[in-house]
Amino acid sequence: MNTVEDLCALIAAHITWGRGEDPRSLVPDSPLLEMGLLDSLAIMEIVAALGAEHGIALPETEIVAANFRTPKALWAVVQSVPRGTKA
Amino acid sequence: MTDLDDAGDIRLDGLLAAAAVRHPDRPALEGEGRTWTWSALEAEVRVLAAELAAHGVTPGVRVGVYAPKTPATVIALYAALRAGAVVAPLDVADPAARTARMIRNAGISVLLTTDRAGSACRAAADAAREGRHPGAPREGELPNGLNWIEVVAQADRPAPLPAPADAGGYVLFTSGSTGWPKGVLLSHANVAHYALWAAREFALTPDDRIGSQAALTFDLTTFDLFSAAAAGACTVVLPDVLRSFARDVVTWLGERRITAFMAVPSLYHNMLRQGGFADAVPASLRVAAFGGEPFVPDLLQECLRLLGDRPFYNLYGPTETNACTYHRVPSDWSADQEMTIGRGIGGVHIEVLDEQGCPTDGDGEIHVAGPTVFQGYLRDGELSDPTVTVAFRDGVTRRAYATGDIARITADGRVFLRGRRDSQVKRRGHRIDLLDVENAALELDQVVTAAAVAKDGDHSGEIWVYAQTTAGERELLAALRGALPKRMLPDRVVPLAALPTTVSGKVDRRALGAAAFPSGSPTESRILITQETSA
Repeated sequence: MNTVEDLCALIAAHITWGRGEDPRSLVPDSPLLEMGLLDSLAIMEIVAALGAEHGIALPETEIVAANFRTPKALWAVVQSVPRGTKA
Repeated sequence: MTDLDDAGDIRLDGLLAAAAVRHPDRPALEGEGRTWTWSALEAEVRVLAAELAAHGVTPGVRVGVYAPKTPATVIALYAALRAGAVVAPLDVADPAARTARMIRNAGISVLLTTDRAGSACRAAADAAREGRHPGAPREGELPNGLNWIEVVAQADRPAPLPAPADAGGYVLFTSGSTGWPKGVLLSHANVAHYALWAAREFALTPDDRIGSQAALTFDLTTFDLFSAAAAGACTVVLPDVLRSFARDVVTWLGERRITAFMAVPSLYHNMLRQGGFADAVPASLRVAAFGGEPFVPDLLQECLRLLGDRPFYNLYGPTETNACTYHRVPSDWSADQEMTIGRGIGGVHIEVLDEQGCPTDGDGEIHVAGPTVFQGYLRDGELSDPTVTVAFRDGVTRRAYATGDIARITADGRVFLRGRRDSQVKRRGHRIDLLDVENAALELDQVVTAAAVAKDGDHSGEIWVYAQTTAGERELLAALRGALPKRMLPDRVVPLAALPTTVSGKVDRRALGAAAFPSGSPTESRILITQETSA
């Protein structure tokens, strides 16, 4: 997890994409919430994947809509969190 | 407050009109940075209702409201009710193909939508019209940024529904076993009786601020809207984007000074586990309720401790009957105690009948009778009444809805849930018929045969689809997303070369329910589990 593009790929992997939707279309400024791409389950999966695959433990206080508006917003939070060891 | 016994004549938009007379300057509706008083709300509803009538929304016409949950959408619902329409809130997040089935099944002739939801609404309307009505539908603009789309021209509209729905009603959809969502037709009085009861039981006043968090397609929200109107309280609309974030909901409850709140246990669970509820119980909160699924006992005990003296209610009731039983959970309840769904709400009769249809003190099926029981299901535009006429233990014969829920009733009328008698499950508060999910899988071109099962053990609470197919899980999930709302998508799809069968040749659902996921990469599995489970 070195770039915001890596984060886009992680988010894309936890969204159930519909027919005709392209996971590669996710960009740092994609409005995830406005597009209705994230439900509470996808959010918890993304948080879990950040922890399990990248050792990034997102504090519960950061799991708020403002931080999931776009991949870029979440990337800013990810960068501010100290990284542990990969689980 | 109006007496419960008078609910037979009460209209939902009449509750609004009455509140505008009694509490004209009190806040009625708040959201998106604006507040409407009861008189302002009534005035906007009146104007919009007249516009709707001018565009052919006459009493009994079935109208779908397809828009994100905002104050403008609430105004549109009230205006359609005022015009005498049978009103169905629709969810903009549902796939167009699913919405089209709702439109057809409920016999919806007119859709109301917003600019932003317009193109998705047109797609649903086109899908509903396909093969029936050639050409493009008529449409036009309304006040408040609303648009109307005519799904069925006036000349082709279905005949009005029988009374009382010829003067309007409310339609909510429920997952059906055929893959077509069933329209649950409620009369004004069906909903009003519950709304008035809840307003009285929770002692709502014009000082109350009801936090409205659920989608308008969810029966919980009839309390948010119509109990508020019954009491002159204010409905405060949670911004849609916050709904999935428990911590934002907790912050919002405090900031908006919410006094009354109703939600599914799943949301309370998340508020307690991740939302920081323990550190931020809103000082304003006065009364709260949950319903729709069981509350995790340990979390319920914790929640009760946090709420202290505030009343906390367990409500039960399928969409077909509104909430029909209630239990105020004692604040000293502990997780080792059995939880009851309580007794019938005022005027509603609850009975538990055995397989012979006789009242029993043992396990049986919950039957509900009384003024909250719906008119029937809308299928292919027609009304069918599934209620039965049965004798209750007091000797009175009543029109009752058989809920499919298995329970026991005590001598003092308290009901304890035991399970289901059919293929329905509850997941995160949503009622889902497994056959509905299974049908969606069977309708996919890639799938030969399929079974949807509720999982046991480690995956308890999850729905998995096992499919005979050469396609992969990702492709199948993507295809299912085009057919099912997110809340109904299976947690996993397991592609198989063949489904395990029982000796009688039926799909062995019990084996599938207990089966572990095949080892190996979970997303790329096409591993046979037939041998493991069919033994």
